[in-house]
Order: sequence, then structure tokens, then C-alpha cells
Amino acid sequence: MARKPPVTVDDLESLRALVHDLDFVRGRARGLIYTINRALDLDLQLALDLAHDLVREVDFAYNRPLVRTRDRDLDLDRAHDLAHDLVRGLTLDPDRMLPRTLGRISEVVELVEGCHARVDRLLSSHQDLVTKAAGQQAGEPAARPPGRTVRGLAVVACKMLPTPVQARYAQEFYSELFDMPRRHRLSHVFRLVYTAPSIRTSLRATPVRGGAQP
Amino acid sequence: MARSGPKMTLPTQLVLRALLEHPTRPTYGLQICQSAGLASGTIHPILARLEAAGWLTSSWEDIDPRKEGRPKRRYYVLSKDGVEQARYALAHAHSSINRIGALRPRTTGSEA
Repeated sequence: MARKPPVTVDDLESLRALVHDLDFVRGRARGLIYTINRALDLDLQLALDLAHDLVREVDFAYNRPLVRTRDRDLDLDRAHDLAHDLVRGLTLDPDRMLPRTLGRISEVVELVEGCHARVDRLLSSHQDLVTKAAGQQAGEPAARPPGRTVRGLAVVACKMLPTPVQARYAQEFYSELFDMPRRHRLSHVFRLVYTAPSIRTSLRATPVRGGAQP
Repeated sequence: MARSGPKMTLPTQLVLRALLEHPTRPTYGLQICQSAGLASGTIHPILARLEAAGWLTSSWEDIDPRKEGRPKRRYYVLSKDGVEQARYALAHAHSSINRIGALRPRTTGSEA
């Protein structure tokens, strides 16, 4: 049996990023399960869109170099294949595939949870490296702030909102962009710009309280 | 007694479901997105509607950004009334009984 390469300090950042990826996969899978399970009037296109989102997130995790080199340690092969089969099935034969889809998604969630647990164990079993990495990173910013383009687009989104709330949302959008991986920031800020008119409409909505209606 | 409130679109239901997993625990936008399985950046209209309806309250976290090395986050939590309203709304979101062919895909063009 081939020996696994030891985990290095550089691997830690990749492991943490992988945890983040797996959290996204879990979220997408749960959203898809809920959509299929609960929506009486199923919009198949919505289910397909969510399934594509799931595959994209699984692919991100699966294609991380760390996952490829550590092979069985962080095995995502089965989850990757299931996610792709799921989308293929829903595209080609949705009526027949829909009943099987829930089972497949649940299996993806189980496999991802397993990988997540293994990554957590790897991180905690290399606590000495975590401590060393923390020492090396002391004084450095925890994450790189968003770049100019992304910040500029966030400002565009805020300018579409009512003046009294622009400062609040500017801060909130900036905080979100700061927290997310760099590869997600541009798509995130485009969605903020796209949904800004809806935010504006929602903020202008008259509050409706629970109670008897005329 | 009919209750009113935000329209129960599927994304709204997903957000409420995510919030109801831990109704008293404040969560921030990205966490809600992940739990709900929705694309980030798409839930702010939903959160704004829920806040406008009084189902949700929000506040800034109490940290020193310089010390933490990151900006403050905006945390959301269901109000007391909001928890009840959300549970009621989710329970009744699928009570329309006049839908047929629920699992059939939308068809375009002429039928065979």
C-alpha cells in the first residue's frame, strides 16, 4: 500500500478551503432535497439548476490538488460520479429519474459528510502544524480584502438602494465579500448588482403584521 | 383567521427553513445562503422582505474589526413573532390542492 504524503503547513490552507467547499456542497444538496421533496408543483428547471449548482460545487472540491493527491484519504470519487449522474438523469429522463434523485442526493450528502469528517480529523491530528501556521501568520490579515473591481461593483449595487440604507448595505456587502473565497467574489457581487432592484422593492414594502384580514 | 406576510416562494421557504433550524441563533447572510442551498448574493431581497414584515431582526456583531482582522458581520435572527409566522407559513405553503401533474416537467410546443 502506497504511503500517503505527510500533511504540510501549505496543505492546511487547502484543507480549510476544502472544508469551505464541502459546506457549499452540503448546502446545495440540502436545498435540492427540499426542493424536490416539498414543492408540490415542481419546477423541473429549478431542480435542474440546483443540481447543476451542486455538481459545480462538487467539482470544485473534487479538483482540489489535495484531494487528488491524497486519494483515499479524502475520497470524493463516488460523490463526484453520483452528482454528475444525477444531472445527466434529470436532463435525459426526468420522469423516470426523479424518484431516484433523492436517494442519490442523500448518498452524495453522506459521502461529503464522510469526507468532511476526515478533513476535520486531519486538521485536528496535525494540531502542531496548525499552531505553527498560526504563528507564521500572526500579524497578517486573515484574508485578502476584496479587489477594486469587486468593491466598485458593490458600490454600484448600493447606489441602487434607498439612501438611508446605503451605508448599512455597503458595510454588509463588503463584509460578505471579505469572508468568501476569492474565486466566488466576482459572481457574488454580480448577483448583488442584479438583485439590488429587488432589495429596493422589498425595503419599500409596507410591513404586514399577522392578524385578521378584512 | 388568515395570516399574511411575505410571498412563500421556494427560495423564501428555503431561507425560513434554514433560519428555523436554530431559531434563536443569530446567523449572517453567507451562513444562511449555505444552509439554504441558495447562491450567495441572492437572499438579500428575501431578508429585506422578512425584516420589513417584522419576522426578522438584524444587528451588527459586537467586535473590534482591527483586532479580528475582518469587518463586522450583519447577523439575522427570527423575531418571536417571526418564528411562529414562519412555521405557520411553511406548514401551509403547500396546502394548495388544485395542482395536478405535480411532477411533470413543463412542456413546450404542441402535445402529442
